[in-house]
Formats: sequence, structure tokens, C-alpha cells
Amino acid sequence: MSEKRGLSRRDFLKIAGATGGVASLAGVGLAGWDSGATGQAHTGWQSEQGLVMFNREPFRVDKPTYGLAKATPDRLDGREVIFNRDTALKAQWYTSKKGEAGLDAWMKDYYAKFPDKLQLDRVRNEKIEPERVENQKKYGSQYIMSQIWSAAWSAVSVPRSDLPEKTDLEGVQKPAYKIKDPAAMSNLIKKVTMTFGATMVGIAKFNPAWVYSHAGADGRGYKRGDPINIPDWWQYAIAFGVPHEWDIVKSNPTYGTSSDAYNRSSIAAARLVTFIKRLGYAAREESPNGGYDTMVPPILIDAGLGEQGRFGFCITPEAGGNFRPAVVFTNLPLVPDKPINMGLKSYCMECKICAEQCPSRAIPFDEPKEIRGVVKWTISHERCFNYWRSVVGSGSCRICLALCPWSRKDAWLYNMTKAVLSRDPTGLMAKMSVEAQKFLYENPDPQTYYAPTNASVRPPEWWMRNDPFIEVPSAQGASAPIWDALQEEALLNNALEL
Amino acid sequence: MFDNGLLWFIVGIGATLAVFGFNEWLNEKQVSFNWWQWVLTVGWVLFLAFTIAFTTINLAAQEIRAGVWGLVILGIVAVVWATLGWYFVLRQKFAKTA
Repeated sequence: MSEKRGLSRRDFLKIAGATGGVASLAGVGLAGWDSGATGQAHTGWQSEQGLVMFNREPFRVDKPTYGLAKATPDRLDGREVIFNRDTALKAQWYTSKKGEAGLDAWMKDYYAKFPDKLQLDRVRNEKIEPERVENQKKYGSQYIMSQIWSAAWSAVSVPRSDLPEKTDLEGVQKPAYKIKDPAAMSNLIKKVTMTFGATMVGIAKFNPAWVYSHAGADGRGYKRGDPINIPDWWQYAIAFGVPHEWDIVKSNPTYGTSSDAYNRSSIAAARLVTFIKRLGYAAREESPNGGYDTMVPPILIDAGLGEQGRFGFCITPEAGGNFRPAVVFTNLPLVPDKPINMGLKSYCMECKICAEQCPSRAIPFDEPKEIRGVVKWTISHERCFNYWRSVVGSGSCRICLALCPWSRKDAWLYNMTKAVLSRDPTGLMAKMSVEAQKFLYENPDPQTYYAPTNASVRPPEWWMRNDPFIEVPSAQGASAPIWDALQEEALLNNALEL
Repeated sequence: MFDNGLLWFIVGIGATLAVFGFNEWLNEKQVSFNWWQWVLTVGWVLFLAFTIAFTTINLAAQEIRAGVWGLVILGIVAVVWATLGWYFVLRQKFAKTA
């Protein structure tokens, strides 16, 4: 007759093993949840301490992945930039009430060369913007909290720069400290720029081809149309980026804003300028708040921060397109970084999600084309801006950067995917990834981004909503026509087809 | 909150216990695995862990569709993997020692 025994060693190990296995799997699940939900995943601020998650060194190449059709590309005239052109058009055509007769010689010449752009600029001013005013009255109240948040980001700003010979040399320490080792100084600059708020930093040799040939608007010491002379102290470009708050970018376009990252990158630039000047060297910020006289994306690409994506932005391995850049020009002795090739160009050739999702159809589906001697993707700025001006709430749009597969959160799953994509020379992973992106991840119908639906890429987070925090007048009316780009084109006899 | 050293310490203890417990169970059944059977088994466990992590990361990132579909697709693969492994490999092994 056997004696009744307690739990055997074997049974104990089996039970403990089963419990441990379940607990381990639960732990993996909890860690995954945390990876997707943590504040760190939202923004990537942890890299302020220099903890860059993507090692660019294996991807360094001698030439950037955009093409050069000629050795020295033509400089862009700042007056062509759509924001500057729209300001001039408003003043000359509408405020003066002179119509076409009010245009200055440059505008007349420009629109004679590009009559399709005039059509689009007029549609915006005469139809889209007035319609938006009405739609805003009907549907705009629900975006008040996000707009207040956006406005708060502009409360602290940096002064706009003046002419280079004035601003760049103001407050420079004399005599300058002698730099022992430009390579060591480059590392120091990257480190301190991160402590100032940047998430990624690179250094490029200054390329005058990226600076505007003429000032696009009055300001920064220039009059609109003044030629921009390049001073000899612009020798290096320190390029960096600051991510957008994740929740806000995912609720574009209606709840979106650029103010958060604009402000952070501008203040980081101002701090970096002061740091360099205290070392005794000239410095000039090209930042959202400080102002721009240059195209920024090619500088970011030259500095090895990323590659140009289909929607024209520099796409970085850390944040995709979900960041705002700033640049500091200086003569502080530095060692430039090489550009990188992380396979983005071939990924964009496959993907096209941004082009499919763009409600204004401003993003090209085809291959990069030559513009001013550079082979690159260029969006239709007019279509893009026309859609911005139709958006209830923010009056702007960042759908492309929100839906770009490279713009995902800083979570290990997404980082691992990007690391694998960057290392696959066959392109097979890119094909699989694109199919997975289109099947697994929600891509709303672009038509729903227009009033009255006013959809956002993802529903807004609790802190962007008015309710339960403030009382606002209820939305008036329930229906408004959906602005249809195709219909607009038909009305204009396809004049908008570029 | 959970993504810290303490959690991974606990996960490590749990995984160690699981390995010991599984080994004890195999000994009890007098079953031994060769190298590729261990690869299949460990691979399945890692795939299951990936399935759980894929789901929770996407749900936490508010990619609900990706989380749900990921669970369905990867979950089916995990079940098929386990079923085929059991039917064609382990079942006979365990039957011999029963």
C-alpha cells in the first residue's frame, strides 16, 4: 500500500515550468504593449542624450541617392516658393483689386511660363479659401482644443535673422578659440545639438546650389527679389531634425499642426548658433521660426540624415518623415558626414502609399525627374497647398508623413522592420513590406478628408478633443459638398493636369 | 512601465523555468529531441512570442487593424505549425514511448 506523498520534484518543475512559460509570454506581450504605448515611442526624445537608434555607418555612400544631371544645379528663386508666391498674388491681384494688371513683371513672366499654376493659385484664392471659411463656421468648432495646443507652441519663439553680414557675425567671441581637432569638434556639435532638442544630427559641406538665388519675400534684411549673396563663412551645414508629437501627427489633417516640431527645431537652432558664436565662429540658422533662404531637404540628405522620399521630404530611419528640420551654416572647422543609402529610393518606387492617400493628388506616382539639374521627386506644390487651404481645423495637412511606413513609432517591431528593409539588397523584403502595409494598416478613403466628413488619419486622442474639457458652440448644419479635385479639373478643362 | 529591466528579469526567470519544466516533462515521457526537433520547437515558441508582441505593439500604437489581423494571420500560422509538428514528428515519438 503506497503512502500518500506530497508534490514530487518532477511535478513541481513541470508546474513551475508551465507557469514560467505562460508568465514569460505574458511578459513579452506587456513589453510589446509598452513599446507601442510609451511616451518614448511617441517622440524619440531619448536620443537627446545621444542614443540614436539607427547606426548609419554601414550605409554611408560617396554620393547621395538623388541624381545630378549637371555638376552645379540651378538655384531656386525664392519667389517661386508657393507661400511667397501666394503672399505676392494676394497683395498684387486681390488686395490691390487690380487683378492681372496688378502683377509685377516677375509674376507676369512666371505665370506666362506656367499658366497652369496661375489657374491653381486662382482656384485657391477665389474658391477654396472662401469655401473653407464657410466650412470652418459649420464644422470647425470640434478642432478648437487642438488649435489652442498648436497656438501654445508658438508662444516661445526665436527672432528672425537679418542679413548674413549682420546676424551671422553678431555676438561672435573674439578671438576665436582654436579648434584642436575638427573630427572631435564634429562629435561635440552633434552631442550638444541633441541636448538642445534634436533627435538626429548630421554635418554636410555647404553647397551653394541649395540656397535661393533671390529672396522670396520681404524680411530677414532682404526685399522680395533681392539677390542672395553667399558669404564666405558658409562652409558647413549642420542639419538636424526634431520629431512631431506622435498623437498629433496621426490625427492629421484636421487636428494636425507643425508648430510643435517647428518650435523645437527653431529653438534648438538658436541655441546651437549661440554655442558656435561663443566658440568664436560665425553661424546662421535656417529654421522654421528664424526663416529660410535655402532648400533644406537636400542639405539633410547630403548630411546623411536620410534619403529623399516620394513626397519630397527627407525620410530618416528614425522618424521617417515625421520630423521638422533646421540647419545652421557656419565656418566652425568640422568634418562632413557622407550621405546614406538605406534602400529608401527603391522602397518608395514600390510603395506609393503617400501618392494613393494624398487627397490633393499632388504626389507623383512615377519616377524621379530632373528639376534644375537635380533628379528627384517633386510634388505639385499648388495642388498640395490648395488642399491645405480647404482643410477645416488646421488649414494644413501632413497626411503623407503620417501614413509613410517609415514614419512609425519608435517601437522595436517597427525599428526592426526598418533595419531589415535597409539591409535587403534583393528588394524582396520591400515588396513584402509594402503589401503588408497596405493590407494590415488602415488607409482611409482620401475623399473622406474633405468637408463635411473631415476625417483624420486616425481618431484624435483624448487630449485633443474639446469634450469633456470645454463647452463650445455645437456644429451648425450637417451637409456641405465634398470638394472634388477631379470635378474641379473638369470645370477648368483639365487645366490643372500638370 | 513594463519595458524595464525588472520585467525582463522576470521573463528570464520564467523562460528558464519553462525550459527546465519542459525538459522534465520530456524525461518523464522518455522522449529525446534531436537538433532539428529542438530548432522547430524553439522556433515555434519564438514565433508565438513574436505573434503576441506584434499584436500588443500594434494595439498599443492604435493600429487596431494591424493588431487584429496580425493576431489572426500569425496565430493561424502558429496553430498550423504546432499541429503539423505534433502530427508528423512528435506524435509518433510520444506514441513509441507510451
